[in-house]
Amino acid sequence: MAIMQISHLTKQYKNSSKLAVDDISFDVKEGEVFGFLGPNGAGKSTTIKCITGILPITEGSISICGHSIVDDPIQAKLNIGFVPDNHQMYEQLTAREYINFMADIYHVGKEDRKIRADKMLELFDLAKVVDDQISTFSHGMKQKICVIGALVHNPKLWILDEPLTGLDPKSSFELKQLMKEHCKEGNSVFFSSHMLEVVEKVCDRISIINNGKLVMTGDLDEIKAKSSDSSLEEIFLSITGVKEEENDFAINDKADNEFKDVFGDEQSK
Amino acid sequence: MNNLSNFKTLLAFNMRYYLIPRFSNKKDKKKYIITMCVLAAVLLIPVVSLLVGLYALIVTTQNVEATRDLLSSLFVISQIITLFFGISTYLQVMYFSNDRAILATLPVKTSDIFITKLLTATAMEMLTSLILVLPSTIVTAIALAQIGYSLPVWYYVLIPVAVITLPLLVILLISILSFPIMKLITFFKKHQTVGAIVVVFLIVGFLMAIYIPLYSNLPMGNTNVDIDPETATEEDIPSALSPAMEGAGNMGRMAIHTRALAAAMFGENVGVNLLIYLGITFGALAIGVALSLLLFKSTMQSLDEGGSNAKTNVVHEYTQSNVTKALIMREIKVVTKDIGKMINVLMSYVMGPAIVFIMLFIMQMNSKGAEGSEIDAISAFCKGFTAGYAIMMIGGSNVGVSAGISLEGKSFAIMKTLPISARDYIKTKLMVYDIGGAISSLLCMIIALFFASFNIVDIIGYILVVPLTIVSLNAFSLVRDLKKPKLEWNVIREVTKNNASTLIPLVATLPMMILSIVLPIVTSIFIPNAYVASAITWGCLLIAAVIYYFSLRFGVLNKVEKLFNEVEC
Ligand SMILES: Nc1ncnc2c1ncn2[C@@H]1O[C@H](COP(=O)(O)OP(=O)(O)OP(=O)(O)O)[C@@H](O)[C@H]1O
Ligand SMILES: [Mg+2]
Repeated sequence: MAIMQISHLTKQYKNSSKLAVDDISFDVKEGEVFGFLGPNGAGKSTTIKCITGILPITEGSISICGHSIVDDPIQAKLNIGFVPDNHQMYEQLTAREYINFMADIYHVGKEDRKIRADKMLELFDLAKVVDDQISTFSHGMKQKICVIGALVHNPKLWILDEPLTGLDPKSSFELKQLMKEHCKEGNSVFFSSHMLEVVEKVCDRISIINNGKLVMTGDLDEIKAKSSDSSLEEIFLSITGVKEEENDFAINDKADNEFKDVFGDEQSK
Repeated sequence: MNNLSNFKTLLAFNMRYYLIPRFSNKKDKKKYIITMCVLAAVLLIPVVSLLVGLYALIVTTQNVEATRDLLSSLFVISQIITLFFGISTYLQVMYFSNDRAILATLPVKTSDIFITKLLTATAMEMLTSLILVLPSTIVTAIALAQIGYSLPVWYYVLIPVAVITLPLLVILLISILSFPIMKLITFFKKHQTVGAIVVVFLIVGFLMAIYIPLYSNLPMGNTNVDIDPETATEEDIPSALSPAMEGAGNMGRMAIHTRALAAAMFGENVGVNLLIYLGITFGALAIGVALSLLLFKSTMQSLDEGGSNAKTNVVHEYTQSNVTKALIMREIKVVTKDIGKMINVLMSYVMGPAIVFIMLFIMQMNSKGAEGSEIDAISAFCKGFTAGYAIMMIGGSNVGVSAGISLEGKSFAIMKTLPISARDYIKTKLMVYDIGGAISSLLCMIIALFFASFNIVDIIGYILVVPLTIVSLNAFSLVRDLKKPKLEWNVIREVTKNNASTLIPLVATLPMMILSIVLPIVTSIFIPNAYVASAITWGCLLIAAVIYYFSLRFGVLNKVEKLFNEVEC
């Protein structure tokens, strides 16, 4: 069964003539981790903002657990837990006040919220600072609080935008574990990323978006089989238009990965 | 060389950043300019009438010496007004702007940052001084020419000097004041709510300390002159006004520095007087700058540490509440725990009652010895003033609602992802400010009860009219802001200033404000029975308030869902 169905989603920002997202369709099924890949400015965040109700949709439809985000937003949103890329939060609150607020809004009982939040606070080493104001937290700490806030109601669909940037190796590992566990319980995870190794490790299926258009969707193995390139990185680079010679160079230097993601496209032109 | 160009770049950056309003598009700009024009036009009425009064006073009393002292008084008043408007601008530019963190990382000297910021704040204060000093000095010159007194050239030469140098002394006062304020802020950093309240009260208290002695010196409603209006002739007018002129000059005679400036402008001992004035001004400026620099350096790091690390021993637990209560608590916490937001919101709730208190206290002081019909007239004015002022201050200039969405900033996106309806969000937000506004406006009335004779009709009328108007204005302002919120900002000033959304509600209050001030006076003149007069006044005002309600609040919540969904962030 599909937890999320996107069909013919198109988004044009009010102050722009370009389509940020251009007629994309795909499903996220129950129990899977779904990776959403694409270079900078491809439209990943825009798509995610449409799914979570932050942006009004220009055309097409999105439904979560059968509820349309446009016609039945409250029911749809009740099934989502969202971790944004910029970790926007109410920084004036303490971590506990923030978790409490999220739990109240999603109708989570007192016992449930205590069990879930305390477990994750322990996991992320945040139990000691839970009564401090969020504005005093580091980048990574804020992100972890975001994660806890997003999971406190055990959502059917957990959406994360660039979740792994800025996390230390341990936290990054814990987060990946959490994503897998969340799916084992019959829920789904949908996240965007440029970190290809991570995507290769945790995702059941992926979609690649470039310039607002969906380039391919499917099983990792399926995609690899279809394409002449052998690694996800090669596929990604050939789709997003890096020339052959540079492509070779990139394969030789895997550590360069992240750097490429940030600067690659612009610099190679 | 390199240093100098760095300095220039910094200065240009600061000036542009704070002095020139910026807009994301032409439409916003147009709207802002139109609103400013309307406001300016409305403000022009009292300013022009004051200038006409000044002119008439000089022409009728024909006393050059008293005019000189009056000019000195005007200078002092301009400095006080500059202080009034300057202090929050100064604190925001110097200490509460987020660019401090960025500037601190640049390869420029802290003292350069300080001086550019100080110059920017001073330039902003010179604007206030220009608006106040220029017209009044020109009107004085015209009036003196009218009575055949020719001013020396010095007068005109010194006008620009006055405009530029008068705000400089204010810097000293502001610097001195900012010490306790900043100390308190750092001290209360852990208890931000208390801190903000203290800061607001400190400002209000300081202003009261200046205003009350000041105004009680002024000849408002001066009734000591024994002239029977029925037998008075034209010759009596100058002698009737002389005491007023004398009184107005009192303050000017006491203030050594402005007295010297005024004397120099009138050509008396120009050299010595100018020396006295400039000596005092620049001496004060030097002390002020030194104090400010000291404070600036000591806060450069500590202020940016931010946040409360207060570890209390209380064991915190999870608590559960329903959605409405959670939303209300969030609103209150988000505002009260952010010192910038808190000060802006409290200003309207505290300034309303404070100014009502000051104003009525002064009226009381000056109407000692008044009798009969005069008392009634003063009482009528007090009632109207209280209602009108409460409406303007609490309903018309509360950024908590007029920029209520914009103040959420980038975190507004979170609200859009939550499973709640826009209607509930707006409703709970309004609830907070409706209750705040109602309490603050009732406080205004309670204060007024001590000074003016409110009868039962007045009390009921006030309770019905003022909160209803404020509540209507709240809904109007908040939904207006939802139409096009300004969510990308770093410094709170970007939201509260240069924003048509915060001005339009003020314009919307004007009809109601004028009506509430004028009606009680008119009815008290024409209707002898106090109860009937009150009933008619409040009856009319209630009709106006109901019109406000139906045009500004009624059904407005039906629009919010669509507006909320359309915000792109
Ligand atoms: N508020 C906005 N107004 C207008 N255009 C926008 C806005 N936000 C994004 N865009 C445009 O939409 C396109 C997609 O941006 P989006 O943020 O979705 O990219 P992304 O895939 O998330 O990139 P990144 O990897 O850098 O996060 C870009 O061309 C961008 O310029
Ligand atoms: Mg993005």
